[in-house]
Amino acid sequence: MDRYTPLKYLLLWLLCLAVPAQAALEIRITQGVEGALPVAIVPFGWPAQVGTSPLDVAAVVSADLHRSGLISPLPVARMPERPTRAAELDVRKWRQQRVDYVAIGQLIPASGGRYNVQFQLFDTISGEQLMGYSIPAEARTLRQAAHHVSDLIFERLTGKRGAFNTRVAFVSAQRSQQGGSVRSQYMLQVADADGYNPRTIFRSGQPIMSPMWSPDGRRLAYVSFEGRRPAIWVQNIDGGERQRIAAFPGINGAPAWSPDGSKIAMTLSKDGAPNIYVYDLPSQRLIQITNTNAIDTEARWMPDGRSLVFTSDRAGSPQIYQVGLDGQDYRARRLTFEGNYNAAVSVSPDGKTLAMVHGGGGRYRIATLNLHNGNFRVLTEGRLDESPSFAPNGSMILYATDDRGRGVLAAVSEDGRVRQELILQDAEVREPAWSPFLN
Amino acid sequence: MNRIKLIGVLVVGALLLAGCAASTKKPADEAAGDPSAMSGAGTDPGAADGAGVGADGRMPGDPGAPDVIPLGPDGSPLHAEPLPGGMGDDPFNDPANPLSRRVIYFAFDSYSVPAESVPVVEAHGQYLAANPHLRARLEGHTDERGTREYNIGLGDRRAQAVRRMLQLHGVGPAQMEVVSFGEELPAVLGSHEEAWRLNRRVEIVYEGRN
Repeated sequence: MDRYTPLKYLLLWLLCLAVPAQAALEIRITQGVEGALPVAIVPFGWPAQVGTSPLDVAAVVSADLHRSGLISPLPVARMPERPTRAAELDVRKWRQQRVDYVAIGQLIPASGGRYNVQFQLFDTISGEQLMGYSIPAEARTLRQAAHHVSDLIFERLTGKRGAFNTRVAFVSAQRSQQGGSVRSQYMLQVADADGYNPRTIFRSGQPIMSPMWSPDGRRLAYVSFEGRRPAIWVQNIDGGERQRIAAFPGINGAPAWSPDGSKIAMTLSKDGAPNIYVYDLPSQRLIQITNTNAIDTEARWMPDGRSLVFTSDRAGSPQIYQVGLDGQDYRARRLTFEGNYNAAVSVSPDGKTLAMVHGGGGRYRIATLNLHNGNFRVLTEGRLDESPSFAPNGSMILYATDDRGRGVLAAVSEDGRVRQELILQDAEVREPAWSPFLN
Repeated sequence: MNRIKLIGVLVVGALLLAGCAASTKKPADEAAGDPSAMSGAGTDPGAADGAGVGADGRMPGDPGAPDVIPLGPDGSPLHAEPLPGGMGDDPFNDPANPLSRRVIYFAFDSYSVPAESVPVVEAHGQYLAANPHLRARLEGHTDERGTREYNIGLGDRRAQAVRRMLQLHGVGPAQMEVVSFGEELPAVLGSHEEAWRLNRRVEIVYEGRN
């Protein structure tokens, strides 16, 4: 019991997390976990005569696995030995340390500035190798290769596909004083799922909102207020070409890509009240789905593409509804009945769980609704938690929270056991969107 | 009349005027502000590709505490002063004239115009109806609570409520444009009742004036 108290975990975590100088995000584990799988990722070998290692692969892998909440990596300082080859490994020492699985490996320089990331995973009870791979990489893809190692270990140990080699999009806002007036800069940014390698793909002096990934992970749809009017844009992540797809009078908001990538659901108020529409990209045809005088918005697709879930205040306060798209009548069904504020839904990849913003008692927190058994759970403890977004494997929910008046990103495991904050320096960050699987 | 509220109204109104007057417009911003864009809709790639333009720095300073009064660029309080260069008998600058009030405040999660603001909206309705060449943008805003896109909806409903009331007074549909910024452009920064109250608003922005 004592071994896994949250405070102790936090300290241990800080010890084993080596944050390089170029890190743009600081990751702070705010709530630890009991009962996670005890593993050890031993620091990888590197030929000493070649200088210093370009990347601490084991640290990246440990950080990834720890963030999942399902696996708890042993801090380097408590490792009984540091083998880098199978012949050097003594599984008894690890068993005594109550470590069930040990990963060892080497980073090997190859010709032409290339590398090979080699690793093996061992079961300390049986002493057998569970897996072993060599992954080729270049200097610029070394972190990706490390995330790939994390994915492989995670899937072998949990049976779930890893989502470490993915990306996150978010909006950041910077205020600056210029000659007596305050100017705001808004940036649409994309970073690796662990917060590294952030880059700005669009910048504006007017608000940017609601980034949403295309199912192929190559484009983002988002809302930009450039010219002081909202419009929905689609932009390539690489290359940067952008196209305006909706600029009607009134609201152009809340874009959501269909699972097959052919349609974008959106909120428009061109015909009166905010309602949900579906825009078919190949035919450029626009279909109105809801038609109320209330606020209907924040549509998301169910994984089968046959219905939408969305927010509506048609019954007086915002609640989540579902509307089927197969028939012609588009009749909506109410899904949430807990409290009087449920909005901004995110659908788990298996379609079984909805994450949403749940308001009550003057606070807004992230909650989940299990669509099969109706269980409703509040997962977070913030004051203004918003914009939940499921990881592509469903294991974590990324969201925006308020840290002493500043917007930061946070993640909570789908069972609510592990929480962490991702702190971007010098900016307010919000509206995170987790990418789909990229490979 | 609640004095604090009146000052608040004037402060925010004056701030908006001052903030906009001080901003420097870039060419792309002017193009995007073309009234013809109001009726234009649909797919229009290539237009308004204003990466990084349109910054007008309209965010007033951080109040820090509920009763802090925002200051102008010169450091003096921004309440109820006639705008420099304004004419003495300009109804927009005469605090006794309801036209000097161009911000309508709303109750939490509500989109009906409160009774005390109806005379202000009526005054603008009569003024716009009598001056059909004038155009006004109705910019809807919310406080920070609740989800961002739902708040875009809420700001839109608020601006639409003002729009309907103006229309009842004979203002032509082409004279008005509704834009909701939701919680994205607060008038006052901070997480407290007073900031929230000042942020739940519709701003009546006369084209060419502000």
